[in-house]
Amino acid sequence: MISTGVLAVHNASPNSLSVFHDAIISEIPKLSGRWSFELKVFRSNNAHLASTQSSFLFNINFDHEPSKSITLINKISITTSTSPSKELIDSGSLVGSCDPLDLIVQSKLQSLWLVRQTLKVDNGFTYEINQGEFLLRAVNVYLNGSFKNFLIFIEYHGNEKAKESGLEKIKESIARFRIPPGNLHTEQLTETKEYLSDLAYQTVQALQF
Amino acid sequence: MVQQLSLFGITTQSQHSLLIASLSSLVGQTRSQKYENLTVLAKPTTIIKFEPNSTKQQYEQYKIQLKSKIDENFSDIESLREWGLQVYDIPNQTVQNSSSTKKKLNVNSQNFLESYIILNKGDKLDDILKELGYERETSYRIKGERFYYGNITIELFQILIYVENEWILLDNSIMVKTFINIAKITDLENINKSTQELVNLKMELTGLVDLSVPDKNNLDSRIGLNFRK
Repeated sequence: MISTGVLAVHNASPNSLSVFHDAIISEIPKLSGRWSFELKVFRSNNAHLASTQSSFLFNINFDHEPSKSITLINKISITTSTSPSKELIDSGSLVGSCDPLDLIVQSKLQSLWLVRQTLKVDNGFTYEINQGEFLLRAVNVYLNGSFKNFLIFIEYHGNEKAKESGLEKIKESIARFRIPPGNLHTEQLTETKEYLSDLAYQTVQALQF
Repeated sequence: MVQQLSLFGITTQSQHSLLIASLSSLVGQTRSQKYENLTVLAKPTTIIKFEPNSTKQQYEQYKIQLKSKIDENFSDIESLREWGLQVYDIPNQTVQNSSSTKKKLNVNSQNFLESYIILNKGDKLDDILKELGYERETSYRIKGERFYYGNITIELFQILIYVENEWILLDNSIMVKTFINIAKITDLENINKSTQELVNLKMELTGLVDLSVPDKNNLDSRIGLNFRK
């Protein structure tokens, strides 16, 4: 089970990324190339929604899982994949040319949800440390051309011992890798870990919409 | 976006074995492919009244179709974790321009969008629909068999509904659906060729089953039309 956390660095500037980059290099990480994600923010077309409804719908697509996307409303997450199982196609449930859910929301559910922002967050870095025990991703977030956040994604891929949970490993890693201080978001959507859904939820939390 | 070209027909239990035998020999496929799914129809929780003189932008509302693979022993909707989600447009205009003269399309043509969704552990389909602003309207089972003929898929199916704790056949008729999916809706050459292919099949099956273009209104997944009049 992969444990995840997303850290929004305090008092960051566009430069913080290269300062972090220079520091983490001393851990001799394996650089696994550029990393990015895309976040679409929908607002409820509110006049028409029940009052219990969330006013936001988020859709995230991470570069390292290109065929999947996560749609979040409140604490519900829907995973969509563009490669359906053959079983489902054979059962007549799909024809097999699948689009991500946000495309349907954007074009057919406009009476309920309208796109407010599309954030293309790119030029991030992925660092693989200690033969993949830890995976760090660092990226600057710009909103309408101006700097908004510096986010560091921390993933623990090692074995979890009963006493030493993945979450503790993530907290330890902050001191160990001299990660700058910030707000760490590690909340899971449900009791069971759902890697991509939890990562999406933590990302949205870190960006504070 | 997929464009589906189709023709529909209806047959009876008594005609079933004759049709199956004829199809088998026509397509050269001795055994049909059996399939079964559960279809859930969902509609927006709030239906917005169309206001003819409003200056606000108004949007069309659509039903959502969700389908999942099931088998004979199906009993619990919560056990289904993978779904195909589809939203259908109203069928396309039945008249198209063909080499400067207006020519009637001989087949039904309908566009739809689909997503493959996977539910997380603990999440219920109804909760997901609710968060999207939808609610379950009805559900039914489709039980059918399938043949392939060139690019055409031929499906014979029956609809089962849940009445008083059991699944029963909606009626004794068997629906016949023949269709070709066009992945690129701009691929006019493919559309014309596929239209011809379906029309040819219609000819071949004359006397066995009458394939035709259904009433557009029956395939319209938009809602609130009554409010719009």
